[in-house]
Amino acid sequence: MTEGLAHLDYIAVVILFAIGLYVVLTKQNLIKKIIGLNIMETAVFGLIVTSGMVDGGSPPLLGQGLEPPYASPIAHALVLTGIVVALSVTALALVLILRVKAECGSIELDELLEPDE
Amino acid sequence: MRNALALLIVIVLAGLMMAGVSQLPPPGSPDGAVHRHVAAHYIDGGTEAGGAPNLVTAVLLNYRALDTYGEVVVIFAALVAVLAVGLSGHSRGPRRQPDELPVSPVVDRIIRLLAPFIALFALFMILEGHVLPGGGFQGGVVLGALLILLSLVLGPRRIRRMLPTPALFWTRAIAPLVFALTAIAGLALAGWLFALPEPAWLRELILVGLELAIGIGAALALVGFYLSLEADHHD
Amino acid sequence: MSSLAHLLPLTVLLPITAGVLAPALFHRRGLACWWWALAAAILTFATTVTLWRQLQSGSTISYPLGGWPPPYGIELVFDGLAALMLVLCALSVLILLAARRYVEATVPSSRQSLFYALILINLGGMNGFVAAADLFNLFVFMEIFSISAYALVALARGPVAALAALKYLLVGAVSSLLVLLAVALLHAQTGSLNMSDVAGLLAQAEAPGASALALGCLVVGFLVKAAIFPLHFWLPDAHASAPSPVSALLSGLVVKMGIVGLVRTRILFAEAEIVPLLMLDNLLVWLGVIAILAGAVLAMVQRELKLMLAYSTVANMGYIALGIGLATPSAVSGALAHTVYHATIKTGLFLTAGSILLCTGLSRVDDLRGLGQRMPLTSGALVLGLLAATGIPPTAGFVGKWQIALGALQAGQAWVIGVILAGALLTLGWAIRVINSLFFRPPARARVITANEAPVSMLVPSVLLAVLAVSAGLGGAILLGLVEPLALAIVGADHDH
Repeated sequence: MTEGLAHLDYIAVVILFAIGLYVVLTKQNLIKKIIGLNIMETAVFGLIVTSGMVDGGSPPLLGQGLEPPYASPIAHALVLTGIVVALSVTALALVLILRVKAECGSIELDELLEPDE
Repeated sequence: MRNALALLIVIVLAGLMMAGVSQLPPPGSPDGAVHRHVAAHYIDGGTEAGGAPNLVTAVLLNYRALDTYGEVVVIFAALVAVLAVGLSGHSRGPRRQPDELPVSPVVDRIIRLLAPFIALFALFMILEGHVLPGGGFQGGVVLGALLILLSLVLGPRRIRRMLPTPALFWTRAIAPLVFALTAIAGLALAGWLFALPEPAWLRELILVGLELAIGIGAALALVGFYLSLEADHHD
Repeated sequence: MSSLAHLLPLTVLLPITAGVLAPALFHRRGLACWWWALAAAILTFATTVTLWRQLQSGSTISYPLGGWPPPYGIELVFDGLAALMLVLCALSVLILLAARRYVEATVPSSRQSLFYALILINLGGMNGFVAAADLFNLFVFMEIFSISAYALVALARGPVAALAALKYLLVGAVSSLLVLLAVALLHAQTGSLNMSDVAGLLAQAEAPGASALALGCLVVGFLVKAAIFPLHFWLPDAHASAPSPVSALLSGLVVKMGIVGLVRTRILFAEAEIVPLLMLDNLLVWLGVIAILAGAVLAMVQRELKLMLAYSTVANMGYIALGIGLATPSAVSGALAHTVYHATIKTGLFLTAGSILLCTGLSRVDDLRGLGQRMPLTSGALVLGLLAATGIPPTAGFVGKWQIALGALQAGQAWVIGVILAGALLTLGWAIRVINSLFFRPPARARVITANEAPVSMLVPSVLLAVLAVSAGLGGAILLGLVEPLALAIVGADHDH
C-alpha cells in the first residue's frame, strides 16, 4: 500500500493525461480538442516537475540562505521550454481553427467531415 | 458507442501507464536518480560553474543553452506561422472600429493605473531572473499580458502602430538573433559556441542581455498571437 | 578534435538565423528573399559537405555545446545517421529552386518572406533533429520542424488545406507529447538526458515497466511522425493539399524524421536487456507489410495525382519500417538506403506534380490526358520518377527493396519477399495508369492543349531529380557501403542471439 501511495503524484498525473486523451479522442469541437491537448500537456509537465522535487527541499537558488537539498533545476528548465512549445502550438492551432471557421463555416469536426454540407 | 470505445482505450492505456510510472523512483525521495546524477553536478558546481545563482537560469542559458535557443526559435516560428496562415491579410474589407467593445470605466481606469507597476514588475523579473525566481520568458509573459490589457483599453490599433512594420520584424526576431550573437561571442572568447565567457561581469552582462531579448521576444510574440486572433475574429 | 567540428552547430544556426532574418530584411520583396533563402540553403549544404568529408577521413564528429562535456551539456553528433543531413540540405536547395515560381503565383507578396522563413527554419530544425544526441534537445528540434511544417501546409489556399493542417497539427502535437512523456520518464528513471549516457544507464536499470512504457511512447510517437500505417491518416490530406514545394519537403524529408527517431530509439534501448526489442521488431515488420499493401492499394484508387503520390509515401514508409524491423544488417542498410532514395524520388515527383499543377491548374489524372505532347520534359520527368518508385532495376527504388528482400531471406522470413513484389506490382499498376493517361490518350481539357512547358527554374530540379531517381540505383553499392556501419550499429548487440 505504501508503495502505491509513494507514487500517488504520478498516478494523479496519469489520470490527468487520460482525461486529456479522452477529450482529444471524443470531442468533435475543435476548440475542445485543443483544450484536451493542453490538459495532456499539463499532465506531462506535472510529471516532469514532480520528478524533480525533493521532500522538504528548497528551490535551486544559491546565495539566498536556502538550505539544501535543492529541487532539480533541470526539471524546471525542461518544463519552461515545454510550456513555450505548448503555447506556440496552441496559438497556431487557434489561428487555424479561426480559418477553418471562416472557410468552412463550422468548427465541429463531424459537421466538417459530412460531404453534403 | 464511439465514446465508450474511446473510454475503454483510454482506461487500458492509463492502466499500462500506471504500471509503468509506479516503477519509477518515488517522487520526492532525495535518493532518486534525478537528484544524484546531472542535477547534483550542477548544484555542486554552484554559481562559479553555472554563471548564475538561480540554477534554473544557469541550466537554461548556460548548460542547456541550445534548448533555450530552440525554444525562442519555436516561439518565433509560431509567430511567423500565425502571421503567414492567419486570415487578416486575405480579406481587406473595412475593419470595424475597435471601440465596438466598450470597456467599463472602472476596468479602464484600473488598467491604466496598474500599467506602470506591471511593467516595472515585468522588468524586475527579467533583469533579476538570473538571481531570483523569474527570468526572461516569465517577465516577457507579464509584459505581453500588459500589452494585451492595454490593447483592450486603448484599442488594438494603437498597439499595432507602436512600431512600424520593418522595425517590428527586427524586434520580433530579437531573441533568436541575440542568442546567435552570444553563441558566436562564446566561440570567439571561450572557444565553444554557446559558451559563456569569463570574467564574471561579462558573463552577467551577457545573461542579462539574453534575458532581456528573450523577454521582449516573448512579449511581442504573445501580443502578435493575440492581435492576429483578434483581427481574424473581426474580419 | 579538429576545428571543423565547430561547423556542426552551424548546420542548425545558419539556416535558422537566415530564416529569422528573412522577414526583417525582405518584407514584401519576395524575389530577393528567394535569393537569400537559396544562398542560405546552399551554404548549409556546403557546411554539411565539409562535415561529411571530415567524417569520411575520421570517426564520428561530436560537439559539446558551451564546452560542457556530456552528459552535463548538450551534445550534437555527426554520425552515419546525421550524414542524412547531406541529403536533406541538397534536396532543400532543389525544393527552394523550384519554389520560386510557385510562391510568386500562389502566395501574397506580403507573406512570401514568411514562407521562405518557415522553409529555412524547417531545414534547421531537421538538421538539429538528426544531429541531436540529447533527448530533450531532440524534442525541441522536433517541435521546430513540426510547427513550421504545420504552417507550411496551411499556406495553401482553400478550406481543405486549413483543415488538413489542423488535423496534421493535432496528430503531430499528440505524438510530440508522447515523445516528451518518454523523455520525462527516462529522465525520472536515469537522471540524465544524453542519449548514450541514458542508454548505458538503461542497461543497468531494474524497472522494466518504466523502460517499456518509455519505449512504447517513443515508438508510437515516431510511428505517427513517420506515418506508418495505420497511424498515417493525417498524411494524405496534408501532403496533397499543401503547396507543391511543401508537399515535396514533407513527403521527401519531414516524414523521414520519424524514421530517424525510430532508429535513435532502437539504439537507445539496444543494451537494455529487459526491454522487449524483439516485440518492437515484429511490430515493425507487420506494420510495414500492412503499410506496403494498404498504401499501394489506396494509391491505386485515388484520382488526384498528388493524393496518389501521398499514399505512395505511406507504402514506401512501410518498406523502411519493414527493413528496420527485420533487423538483419542487409535489411537495415536497405531501409536506410531506401530512406535516402525515396526522399530523392518523392521530392522529384512532388516537384514535377507541382509544375503540372501550376502550368495547367489541373490535378486529376484523367484531366491530364495528352499532357505528354504539351509538356514533354515535365511529363517525362514524372514518368521516370514513377518508374523509379515502382523499383524497376536499376532505378533508385530497386536497391533498397532488393536489400530488404535479401534481409528477409537472412531472417528466415521469405514470405516478406512476396509482399515486396506485390507492393511493386500494385505501384506499377497505378504508375501505368498515369503514364497511359499522359502519353497515350488524346487531350480532354482545353487547359492541357494550351499548356506550355514549365519554366526553367522548375524544370531543372524536376529533371535532375528524375535522372537521379532512375540512375542512382547504379551507385547503390556505394550508398550501401556508406550506411552499412550504421546498420551494424543499429542491429548491434541483439543480432548475436
